[in-house]
Amino acid sequence: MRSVGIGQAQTVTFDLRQESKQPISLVNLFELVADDLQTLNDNLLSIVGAENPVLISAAEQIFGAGGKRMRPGLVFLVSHATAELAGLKELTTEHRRLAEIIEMIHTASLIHDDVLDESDMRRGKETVHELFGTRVAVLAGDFMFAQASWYLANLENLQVIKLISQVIKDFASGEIKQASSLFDCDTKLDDYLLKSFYKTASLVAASTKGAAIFSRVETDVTEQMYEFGKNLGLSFQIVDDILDFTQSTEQLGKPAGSDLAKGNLTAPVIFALEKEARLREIIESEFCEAGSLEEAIEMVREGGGIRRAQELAREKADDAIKNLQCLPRSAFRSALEEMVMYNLERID
Amino acid sequence: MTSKLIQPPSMAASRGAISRRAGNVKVLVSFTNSNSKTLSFSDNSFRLRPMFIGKVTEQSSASSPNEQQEEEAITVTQIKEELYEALKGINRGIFGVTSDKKTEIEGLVKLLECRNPTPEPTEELDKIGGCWKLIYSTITVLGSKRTKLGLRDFVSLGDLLQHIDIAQGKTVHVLKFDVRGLNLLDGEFRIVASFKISSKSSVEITYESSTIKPDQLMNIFRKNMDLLLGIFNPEGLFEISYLDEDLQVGRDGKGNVFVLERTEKP
Repeated sequence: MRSVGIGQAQTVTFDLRQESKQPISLVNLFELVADDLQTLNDNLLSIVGAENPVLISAAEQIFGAGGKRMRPGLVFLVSHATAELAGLKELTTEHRRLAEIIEMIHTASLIHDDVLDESDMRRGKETVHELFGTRVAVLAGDFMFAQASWYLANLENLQVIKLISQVIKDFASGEIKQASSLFDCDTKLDDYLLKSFYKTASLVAASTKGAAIFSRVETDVTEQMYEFGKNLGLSFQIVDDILDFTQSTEQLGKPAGSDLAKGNLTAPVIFALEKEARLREIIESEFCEAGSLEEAIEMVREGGGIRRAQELAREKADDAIKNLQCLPRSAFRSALEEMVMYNLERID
Repeated sequence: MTSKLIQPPSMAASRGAISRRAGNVKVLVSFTNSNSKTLSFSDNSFRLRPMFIGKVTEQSSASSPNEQQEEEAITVTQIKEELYEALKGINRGIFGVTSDKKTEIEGLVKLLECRNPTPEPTEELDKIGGCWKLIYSTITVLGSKRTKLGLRDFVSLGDLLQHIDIAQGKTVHVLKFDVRGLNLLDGEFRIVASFKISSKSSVEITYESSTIKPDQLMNIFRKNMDLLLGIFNPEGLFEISYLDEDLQVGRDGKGNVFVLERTEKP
């Protein structure tokens, strides 16, 4: 917005965006569903801990730590936002169960991922296998997958059962796809998006669609909610992959460029490889030369890899916002839009 | 522990001079010409300047003849010791080594090649027949090739052996694989090739056939046979640049170096 000052031919520029904006915080976003999340926390601890004292400790370790509860938060927000359309006053037991199932599946996958990656820290606390050993970690993860499946079956909604079962299958597909394309410089953007879908977006999409299904809304709305979850999930993963290059070791809690070091080629690298032939050489050599990883990270930055990945993240975010337009305007819909923006803010 | 062998142009023709690393002072102690006679420094009819490896100290260019005579002559045994030391922990170089390490090994290999006791190996083929085990090669399996062959977590590479049968004119290359989780401890990829003498120090190798045992391993590698052959096919010219009772060094026509040690037939 510009306006010309009176008198001389001076141009004064007003930037309406200059009003200081608070960065979006998830805590604020989830104020609306804070009670729902508290109930969720309590239920999760009792579900997992009830079987076995060792699992209680493991459960406390993983659920007690500062997890963002982003996925259940999404389930609750979409549940409320779609419930209005169907004239529902309150969330149903099914909504709540769905959120618990989603968080159990997500957590189980994190525990197993940490075993596979041999990570000793997560969210600033020791990982389950670091504290209790690999056996307990594998069993705790298995138990949570199994418990989630049992609760899922008891919801007796075939559509949602198929939806969530697909996710567990997709998690495995994603890991396998990633493992079989390590250091493969011929990886295309579509391969990356598919892998990111399997590993991340599939669960988010199933959560948001499941929430809409339990609100008993029309099919076109549930489909839009699926697309919303998918686009948000993809945008989220792309941002994570960008941050692996742009953040420092302290911010990340692990060495920068660790994806690249393992041969996991993400969006910024795939874009940069289109420009830099030398980058391909370095990656193919698996960074055996001292300083070559740092050189590669620099090349990804210089080669416009980061910038193009940011554009891709924004594209998916825009698509996600569009998917929300079928919902009535409400505090909940705004919160969902803010979630999309929160994600993008991480790379501004 | 890097070493760079500096060679003035005149040395290329006489096939090398060697220096012994002794702390910071480098001293030329002896050199051999192509007649394999060991001459001492004072006999140097080429009037060479002393050669140095590694750090150079100020006094080196003016080092006195007394110092040089006091140095022990370096032996093949010592070079081999240094080579074995340098090869420790790098898994034969197959999964990548730093270029510093590569240069160090190349330097030691060249030292050996200058002291080759069998400069015409194809005239004494019985010295090369039998079983050999690869201890170093510049061939690497890295990046997407390594991923596709499962050589990251699923399959581990065991010994790489070579059986040379002089009577039949055959050389059989055996790559041993371990497939974890399938209890297949004796998987192997076997390439059979024949060879013909090409010169006094080289042979021409021709690929004949390859197999993978057992069958289950064949299933895993079926898609990647071409990849495997592309990496390990011995076809082409092969020069034997060093040969003694227990060590062999060879170079192929693609610039690769191979160091093998003699082993008992399993």
